[in-house]
Amino acid sequence: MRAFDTRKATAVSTENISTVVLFTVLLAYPLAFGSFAVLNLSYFLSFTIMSLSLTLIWGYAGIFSMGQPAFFGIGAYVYGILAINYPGASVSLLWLLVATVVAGIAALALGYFMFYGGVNDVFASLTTWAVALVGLTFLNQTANEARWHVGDALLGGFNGMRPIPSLSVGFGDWSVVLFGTNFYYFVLGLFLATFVAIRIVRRTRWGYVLVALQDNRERTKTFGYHVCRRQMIVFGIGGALAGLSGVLYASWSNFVAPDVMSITACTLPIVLVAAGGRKNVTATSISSILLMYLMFKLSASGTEWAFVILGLVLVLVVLFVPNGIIVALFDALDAHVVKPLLGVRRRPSQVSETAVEGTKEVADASRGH
Amino acid sequence: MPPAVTEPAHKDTSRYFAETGPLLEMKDVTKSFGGLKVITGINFSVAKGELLCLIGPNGAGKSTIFKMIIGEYPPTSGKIIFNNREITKLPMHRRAEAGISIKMQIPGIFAEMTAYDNMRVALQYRVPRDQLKDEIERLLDKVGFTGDTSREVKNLSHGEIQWLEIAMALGSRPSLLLLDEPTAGMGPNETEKTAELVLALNAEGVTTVVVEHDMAFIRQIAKRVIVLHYGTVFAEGTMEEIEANEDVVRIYLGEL
Repeated sequence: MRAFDTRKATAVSTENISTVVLFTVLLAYPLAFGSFAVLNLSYFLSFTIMSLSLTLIWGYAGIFSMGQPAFFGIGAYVYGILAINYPGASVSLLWLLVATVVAGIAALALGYFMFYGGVNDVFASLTTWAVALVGLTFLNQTANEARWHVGDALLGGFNGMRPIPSLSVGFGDWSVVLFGTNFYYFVLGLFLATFVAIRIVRRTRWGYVLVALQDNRERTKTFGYHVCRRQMIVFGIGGALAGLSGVLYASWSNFVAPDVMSITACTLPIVLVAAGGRKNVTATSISSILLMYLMFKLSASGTEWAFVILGLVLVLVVLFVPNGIIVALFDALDAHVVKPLLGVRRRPSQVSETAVEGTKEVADASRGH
Repeated sequence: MPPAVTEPAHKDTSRYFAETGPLLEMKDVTKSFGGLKVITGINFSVAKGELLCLIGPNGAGKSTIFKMIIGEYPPTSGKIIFNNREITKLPMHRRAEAGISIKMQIPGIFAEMTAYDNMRVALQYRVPRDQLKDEIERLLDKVGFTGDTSREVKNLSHGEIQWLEIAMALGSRPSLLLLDEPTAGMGPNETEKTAELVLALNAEGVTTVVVEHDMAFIRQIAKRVIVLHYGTVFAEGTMEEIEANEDVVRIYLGEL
C-alpha cells in the first residue's frame, strides 16, 4: 500500500527552532544592546529584505537575478527624490509605498521583455546584471547640478543624493521620526512580514508552480500554466521587495549613491543567499545577517579583505555545500540531534524496496534489449 | 531520397472509426531546423476515441511531431487542427487548456518535489481544492503507482516515474493523450502492465497517440499504426498489414 502523508512528519525541526530563536533574539535585541548596535542591525535587516527577494525569485522560481541592486537603487532614489521634494511626516510612508511600487513596476517591465522574449537562465542573469550596471553608469554621470535634478533633489552623480529625510509617521499634529529603536522595530516588522509571506507562499498553489517551473518550464506549460506571466509576476514582486529594501537603506543612511548598483553590490546579495541556502527563508535570513555583520566588522577594522573573504565563502559553498551552509547544518542537526531526541524513527522504507526492484528491472531490460 | 510512399498520404481513416469525427488533424505540416528539414510533410488525423501508434526508425520525426502538437515547436508550414479549431499558433498552455496532454520522452517530473506535490501541480489547475486529494489518489491507483508519495521523486524507480508521469498527464482530464515512449527503461513485466493501462485508458474513451520503439509493446496495444520515415507518413494500417509490408521491414533493417 502507498504511504499517503503530504507533509513532513513533524513540525519540530532545526529550521523551525532556529526561526523562533532568530525572531526572539531580534525582538529582544534593543533591550540588551546599545543604540549603535541597534542602528547597525537595522541596516543588516533592511538588506536582508533584498536577500529574501532573491530567495523568492531564485530559490523558488529559479530566476538567478544579478540585478536586484538595480531595484534596490530605484527604490532608494525614488524615495529620496520624493522625500526631498515633499518632506513631512504625513506623506513619508506614502513615499515608501510609491518607491516600492515603482521598483516593482520596473521589475515587471524588465520581466515582461525577458520572459516573454524567451530570455532565461544565465541570459536572464546577465540581462539583469547589465540593467544594474547601466543604472550605475547613468547615475555616475549625473553630477551636473543644473541638468540632473528632480525638483529640489540633486542626483549628485558619483557623490550621491543627500540629505534624504528619514522615514517618519505622522497624523495631524502628532509625528515621530523613525530613527534608532523606532526604525529598528519598523524594519523588523517589515522583515517579519516579508519572511512569513515568502515562507507561506511556498506551500500555496502558486508556490508549487514556482518550484515546478524552476525545475522544468516546458513541462509546467503542458499542465496549462502561463509560465512567462508567472515568471514576470514573481520577478516583479522580487523587484518591489528589493525596492523596499532600498527605501529603508536610504532612510537609514539619509543618503544614496550610484555604487549601490556597482558590480560588487550586485554580487553581494547572491553570496548572502547562496551561502545560507537559497531555497530556505530561515537559512538565507540567518546567513544574510551574519555575513553582513562579518563584513561590517571587517571593514570597521580597516581591512580591505571583506569582499575577498566573501568571494572565498561563495567559492567554498559552491564547491562543498551547494545547497548552502545553514541548510546543511539544519539537515545534519535534524538527522543527528532533533530526530533522535524526539524518537522519530525512519519509516519502514518502501522506497528502498521499489528502488531495489527498479534496479533489477532495469537490469532485466538491458539484458532484454 | 525518401522512398516512394506505398500508400496515399491522405489516407481515409474512416474504415477504423466510421462513427466519430477527427479529434486531431495534421495538414501538410513541415518542420525545419535551420536548413535541416526534419518533417518533410505529414498528413494524418486521429479520430475521437482512437488509439494510434506512431513508429519509425530513429530520427523519423516522431517526437518532433509531438512537440508540434503540444506547441513546443511551431511548425514551419501547415496546419494543426484540434477539435475543429486551428491550434497551429496557440501557445503551449492554451493547448493544455484545450485538452492536449503529454507524457514526454525525457522524464518530465519535478525532481525536487514529492510525488504528491508533482501530482498537485499537474492537477490543481483543473481540480477544485477540496477534491484534490481524492483525485490524486484515484489517479495514482489507476496507473498502479505504489511508491511513497511523500518522498522526493528522484528516488523512484524507472517504472514508477513513468506511471507517475502518466497519472500527471491524466490529471487535466485530457481529450487527447500523447505518450512518448511510455515504456522507456521498463522491464517486460512493467511493459505489460503499461500496455494494459494504455488499453484500459483508451477503453474509457481517452484518445491516445503512442510513440514507441518497443515493438512487443506496440503489438500488445496496436489498433492503427502509422510508420514514419524521413519525416513523412511512410505506411499506415493495422499491425498485421504493417508487419506484412516489405518496405517497412526494409526501412527498419536499414536497407534504404
